Amino acid sequence: MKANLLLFMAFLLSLNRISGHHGPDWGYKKRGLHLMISAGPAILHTVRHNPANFFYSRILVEPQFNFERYTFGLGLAKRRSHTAFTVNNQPYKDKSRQFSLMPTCSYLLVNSGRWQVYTGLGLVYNYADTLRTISSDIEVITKRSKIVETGCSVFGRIHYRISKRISLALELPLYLTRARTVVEENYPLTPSMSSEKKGRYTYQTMFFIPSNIFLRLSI
Amino acid sequence: MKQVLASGTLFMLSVLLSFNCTKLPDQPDLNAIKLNLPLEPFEYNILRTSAGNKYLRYEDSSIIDNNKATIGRILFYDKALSINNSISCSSCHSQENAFADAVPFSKGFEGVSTLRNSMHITNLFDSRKAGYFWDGRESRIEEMVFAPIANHIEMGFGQIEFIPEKIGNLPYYRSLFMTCYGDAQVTEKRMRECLGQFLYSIVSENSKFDKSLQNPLVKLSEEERWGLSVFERNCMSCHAITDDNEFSLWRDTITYANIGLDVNDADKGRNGLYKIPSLRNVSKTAPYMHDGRFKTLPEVLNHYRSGIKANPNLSEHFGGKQGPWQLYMSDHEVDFLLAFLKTLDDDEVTKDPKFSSPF
Repeated sequence: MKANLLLFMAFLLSLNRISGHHGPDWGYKKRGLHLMISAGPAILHTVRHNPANFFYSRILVEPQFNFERYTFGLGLAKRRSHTAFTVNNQPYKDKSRQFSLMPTCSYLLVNSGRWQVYTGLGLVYNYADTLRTISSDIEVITKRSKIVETGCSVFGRIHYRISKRISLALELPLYLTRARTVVEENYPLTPSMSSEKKGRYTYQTMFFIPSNIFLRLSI
Repeated sequence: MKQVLASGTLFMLSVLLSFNCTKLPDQPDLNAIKLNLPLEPFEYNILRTSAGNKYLRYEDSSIIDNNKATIGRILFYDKALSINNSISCSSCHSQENAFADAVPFSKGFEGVSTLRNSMHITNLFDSRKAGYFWDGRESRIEEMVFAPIANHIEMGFGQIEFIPEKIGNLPYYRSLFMTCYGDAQVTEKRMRECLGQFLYSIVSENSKFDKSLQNPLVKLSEEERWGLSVFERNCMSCHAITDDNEFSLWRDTITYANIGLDVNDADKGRNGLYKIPSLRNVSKTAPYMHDGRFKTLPEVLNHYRSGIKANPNLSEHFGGKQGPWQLYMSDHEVDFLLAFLKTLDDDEVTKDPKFSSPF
């Protein structure tokens, strides 16, 4: 959290420095297409490796269309990871895939030269599928957990226009989500022990200080 | 710019399309597993003692059955008995360590440390009256054998009714159960019996000390004989030499003791007491005590010489509530005692192929 705050403040300070230089006013197009791309997850190791924060901090790409002061977008995120380790010299492998969608609608609150401030709403869909395989000479045990998370978000975005078509952006989101985990265990030699357990729905509210910088390309 | 947007859209589509579910892996060919077993089963039921050949009894009414003990041997070494196939009984009771473990706390099926040091499991028949485990909580071998399998730290099965199902699905057991019981059905009762019979068959009786009692040509050295006298004076109150040369005290009344390891016991054992272990193969079964705190025998002896602490449950041999009393042993006597303890090592039981892994 401290690292998040420091990063955020550093970013704001750098924006402040840049904004001191008065540049041309590129205006605001009433209709336009944009593509918001993650400029790489900011240095924050903890956020990057926390699956729960995956979508919220790692939108990879979001095509956008703006009409008057409204902007409609479709955020998309995806990640795969493979880890292998041993327990008592027995190989364990974890394959994880995560996929997230977030349709958004935002409203341009402030448009002052290089600065643009948006506020918006979004719907959230996250899907995570983790497959653990435990291999031995006699069987390969698998444990799969699937998490489906749905919800909505309220967010604010700050854009700083570097040029007519390129902006830097930060996002401050608040998420309200409902999640459910389904765990499937498969023991080939002990079918009676194999199971599918559906967990209860859990609800959570999450707020993240920006941990990612976006590049917004506009037509 | 249009190109950038187009490529971004293509990227997004490719991301969507590439997200497919992970495929389940193939299972190994179980028929490819071959066991290293003799054509005729090993002989498990004869116990040779100074009194001549005698049957090793499994229960009061039965003797060790070679076929059952053979199945027990396979089960003992089969990692299938842990829920994730990572460890077997032998992982914590290895033959080379005289069926103990070389670490203070063994690792369970998920690599988590067990709560107590693994006891050696030779001559279990002789120690049955004292109960099994450091707190003697199990009194029957059939109950004892499944306790680690069901334990959530050790082998992780939790519910033991699943174990026969798993073993029954392993093809290499079918012919063995068929030969032994007339059908290939694997039941919990049969598994308990086979494991129990194998464990009872692990008898250590060929130490130099045993041989010196049986064969006049085998003599203890002078140093070892001095060590025996030190042992008789200081250790035999608890580690009695019984008729079967079992170096633990389970004769009648005292089978558990508190030896003042701590002022307050973190592990309460059996109401503050712990089982007095057999000293057979004692130099091979380090580390020592219920928590494996002593790495060497000299450390153990130093505890008895100067490390015994007052404890509400301290053994009367160390002063009880008036204690702690330390044992007086000179440095020379300690050396003699160590030499004697070495004569309790049985290199045959640690190398005998009938107790070795068939995998």
